[in-house]
Order: sequence, then structure tokens, then C-alpha cells
Amino acid sequence: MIVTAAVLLLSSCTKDKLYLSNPNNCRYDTYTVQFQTIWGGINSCYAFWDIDGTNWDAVYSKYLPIFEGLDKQETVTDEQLLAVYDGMLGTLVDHHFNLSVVNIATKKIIDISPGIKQVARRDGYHENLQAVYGDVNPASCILKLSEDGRLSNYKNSYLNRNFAHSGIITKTEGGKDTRILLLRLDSFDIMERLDAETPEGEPKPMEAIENYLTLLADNSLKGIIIDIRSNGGGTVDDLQYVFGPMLKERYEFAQIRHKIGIGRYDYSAWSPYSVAPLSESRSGCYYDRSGIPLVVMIDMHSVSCSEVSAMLARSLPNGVILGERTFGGQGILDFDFESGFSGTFGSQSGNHYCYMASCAVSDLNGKCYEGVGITPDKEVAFNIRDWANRRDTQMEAAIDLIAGK
Amino acid sequence: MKHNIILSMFVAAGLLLSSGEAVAQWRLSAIAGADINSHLVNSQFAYDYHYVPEWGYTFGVEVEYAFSDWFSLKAGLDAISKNFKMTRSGFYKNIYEAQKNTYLQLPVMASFSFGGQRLRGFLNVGPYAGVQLSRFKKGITPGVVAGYSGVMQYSDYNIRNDFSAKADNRFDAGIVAGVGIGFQVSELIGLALEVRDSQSLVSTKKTSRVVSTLDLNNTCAFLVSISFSL
Repeated sequence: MIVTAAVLLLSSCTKDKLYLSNPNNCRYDTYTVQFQTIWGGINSCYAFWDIDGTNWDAVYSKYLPIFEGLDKQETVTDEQLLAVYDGMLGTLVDHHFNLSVVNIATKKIIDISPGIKQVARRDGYHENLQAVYGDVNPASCILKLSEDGRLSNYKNSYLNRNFAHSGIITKTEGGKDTRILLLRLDSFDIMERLDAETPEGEPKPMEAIENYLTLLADNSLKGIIIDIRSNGGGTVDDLQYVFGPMLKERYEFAQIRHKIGIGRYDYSAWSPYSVAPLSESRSGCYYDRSGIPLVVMIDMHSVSCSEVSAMLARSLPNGVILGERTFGGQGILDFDFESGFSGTFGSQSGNHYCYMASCAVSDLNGKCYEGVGITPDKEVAFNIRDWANRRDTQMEAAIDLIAGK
Repeated sequence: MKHNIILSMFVAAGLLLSSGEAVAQWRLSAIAGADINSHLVNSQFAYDYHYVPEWGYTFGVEVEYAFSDWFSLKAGLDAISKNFKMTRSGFYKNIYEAQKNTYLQLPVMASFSFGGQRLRGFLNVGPYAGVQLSRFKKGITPGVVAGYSGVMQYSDYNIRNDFSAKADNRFDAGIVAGVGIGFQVSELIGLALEVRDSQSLVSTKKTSRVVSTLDLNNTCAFLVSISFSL
């Protein structure tokens, strides 16, 4: 006991070592303490240290003198601070990661998102499908299918903006008859809209989803397309509405891992990531569609729940992923910091807000795609010239994959 | 000057050892018992991680060379459990992880004894070095079921905890100290009871150069030994 007491005493007196404070409750007025708070918070709360190649101690050694130097300057411009934080955080693999930090000198907020910059450096990079062109977007391309007489039973859902579309694709571009159920989701917001009020004159928020569930009962379907390109994610519970109608029982398709200690590598064992069948909440809502192809469309802006959907589709015997490698941010965010002392910390009204995943996600083989993204089974590049003319090259490839040319 | 100091130390040691009865002899012992290990962690701001001591076992063989009737040197080769459990409280009280860690430990101890011919007390103290041989972990962690993410879903596990070169430090070293009482059954055979404490001085994890961390084991073993004069 005497030896133990001596060891504890010695360790508590360790010179020049950083004692970590709760990164949620830190107040400061220097760049040095701001850096130490953010560095320490990421050190303790990051979900990917065993996957991430960043030498975090070396980052501290390199950037501490730089931030100490900022404190000695008369003023620090936003551009200067952004460049320093970009350098400090640029290699982190968590693609949910976003740091909003107040420049102490100017009181302005700057944002640092290493994932966005890493994806922007990819070959064939293009903007989010909603933003490539002003008036050409996934919704207008789907309407073009309708205008061409290739889409029936079309419904869309609206709440502030389009978020879901569903219908039956009846013909290929070459004129071949087919019957493919299409569900397009701009975001995973289904659960949030379950009880939302309908804006006057607009389609009901759940209309496209109810239509999808009705059409899924059609036994003459040749295939299903779930289009989640440029879908920024949302609540994982939506998977129950998208994939749950095709599941008879709870289905384990991936694994998650939590932090279980403050140490950099204190992680739990992997635990199951499952989806519940929709029949658990809607009696009789089960349709066996395992005999027809299920094509999930993804692109480099498909992130979070979209990527988890791709993992789920890949694990199904009839699942095919088509499009481009995804964004690379599959981790789960839990905004209850104290549930694992991990993930997002700070405050949006405070001097720093560090938004990041609380849990890592891997496939059933233990492979984690964080920072890398999920490569499709069938790669089809985005064609900006076709898109400008409301021709969706990737959608046509998905239709042809199911129906043949 | 340096040579004089070393020479003086040898002379002093010689006088000290020769002051008792010349009983130089080898003894071989088998030890076994239960141990309880505390994992010393600096949890810093994560106040809801509680590290609870867990019981395990210790067994091994030790050799002893007696320089006098009150001083000997002991060296051992012991298998020792350094188990512990991490628990949570309140809303998260179902979450835990219990680790079962087995080390091979080599203590080298100076042993001082006192008392009568048949019943003698003793004090052991010295350094040890060791290596972690195996580890297992079991626990309960939250899982996710899409459709029920607002409801805590638990998943239990009981698995071998593979070593990670990036995260783990398998080498162990520290200080061991014990007190006990020995009973000489016959000229050749002795029995002893001992309480022995091992304090590691090497972190069980690869440490950060920057952060003040602590992941040390303190293991208190309650041992029975039988020894044979050779």
C-alpha cells in the first residue's frame, strides 16, 4: 500500500504532462488552452485511434509551439487560424468530424472538416447531386422519367424540401418493359416526419414512404432500386422502413464498438448492429423479395446512414451496390457525451464544438471503412454532361442491371 | 574513491552474513494461492468509470539460497492473475467489462527471517519482471437495433482479448513485498503462509508522451507454500 501510494504520488506529479479536463466544460481565453482542450478531447473521445494512422502525440509536439506563438501575436486572422487547424486535423479518418471553433481575436467561428477536403481530392470528384446544377437534381431527373412515360405510381414527400420519391419504373431507356420499384431518399428523415404536419398544398411527409410500402406488395416486381446518392444520413431507425419490410426477423448486418475508458485505445468488444423487421411495428408488413435484385445506389456524398445501408445491402444475398465509393463516415453519433465519454464535445454556443462519431462501425468481418468509404460492387461514374440534360447515367445503369438492356 | 566504496560494501556484506550461523543451502518451494488485483487508473474527467478489484490465482515455483539463518535470496517463476472489472453507475449500470489477465512473473527477493527454529516470520522484498501471457474479457456493451435506437439494447461478450502492438504493453515490471510465517515440519520440509503485494511500475498500455495517464496493477496474493531443502 505504501508503494502504491508512492506510485500514485509520483504519477500525479509528472512534470510537463497534460492533465485532461472535461472538454465540455472548459473556459479559456488563449489559443494555447483552446488547442490543449481540443487536442485532449479528441485524444480521449475519438472512436478510431486503432484505425487512424495519425500520430496524435506528434501533432501535439508540433502544434503546441504554433498555438503558443499565436498567443504572442497582436491579432490572428480567421484564415491563419483555419490554416493551422486544417494542418492539425487534416489526416483524421473520422469523416463525420467537424470542428467549429471561435477565433479568440475576431470572435468569428471557423469550421474545419477534414473529411470534406479528403473527398474533394478524389479522382472524378463532383458536387453533391443537389448542388451540381441549380435546377437539375435527383427529383427533376425522376420527373424526367415520368415525362418520358417510364414511371408510374409516382409519389413524393415534402417537408420544407423534397426528401423522398417512390414509383414504378416501367421501361428501360431502350424501351424494354420492366417493373422496378424505385425509392429515392435525399435524407434519412422518415422517423422525424412520421407525425409531422402537412404543409398546405404539399404532399404528405410520409406519402412516398407509404407508396413504397404499398408497391412493395406487388409480386410482379422485377427488382428494387434504393437511390441514396448524396444522402447525408439521418436516423438509423429509418432502416426499419427501407429494408425492414423485406426482413422476416431481426437481421444482424454489421458491428459497432463503443469507448469504455478515457485511454486512447479503451474500446469495447464489437457488438451487433441489427435492423428490426417493420412487421414488429406494423403487423403483417413483410414481403419476401429475396428472389429479385435489390440495387442500392451510392455516390461519394452518400454518408453515415447511407453507407450503413450499403453495408446492409451488401450483406443480403440479392443486394448489389452501384455507383461510386461512398464518403467514408459510417460511425454512429450519440449526443449523450456521458454515455461513453466519447464522440461530440463542446457547445455550439461556446468557444468550440467538436462534432464526431461516438462509435465505430465495421462489417461482420470486422473491416471498418471509416475514412475510406464503401466501394460499390458495380462502379458507375457520375456523368455531368448527361446530368445537365436530366439524364441520370447511374440510374440507367441500375435499371439495366435489373432489366437487361 | 569509487573502488574503496565498493570494497567497503563487500566487506560490510561479508561481516553481516557471517555474523549468523553458516547455513548456506538451497531450498525449492511450490507456492499457490488466491490474489486480488486492483487496476489503478487515472480516469480524469470520466467520473463514471469505476475500476473494481477482482480475484484470481497465483502459483509457481521458487528457489531460495540461504546465506545465513536470517538472510536469503529467493527467485521465482510465477503465474499470476491480474484481473479487474470496469463498471458504470446510474443509467449505464448494466454496462461493464471484466478482464482476466494472466502474467508470468519473475520476482527476485531478499528474504529476511526472524524467530525460533520451527516457527519463523519472514519479510520478502525485491523487484520483479514479467510478461502478460493471455487475457480474456467479458462484459456488456450497448448494441444497436435500427427501429429501436432510442431504447438501450445490450449485447454481452466473452472473448479472448487479442494483444495489439499499437495499444498494449505486455512487458511488466515492478516491486514485490511480502510478509509471512514459516513452520519447519521436518529437517527437509517447511510450510509457510504469506501475504505478498506486487506493485507494477509499467503501464499496461502504450502511454502517451503528452497525457498524464496511469494504468497500473496492484496485486495482493495470499499464498501457501511448501519448501524442500536440497
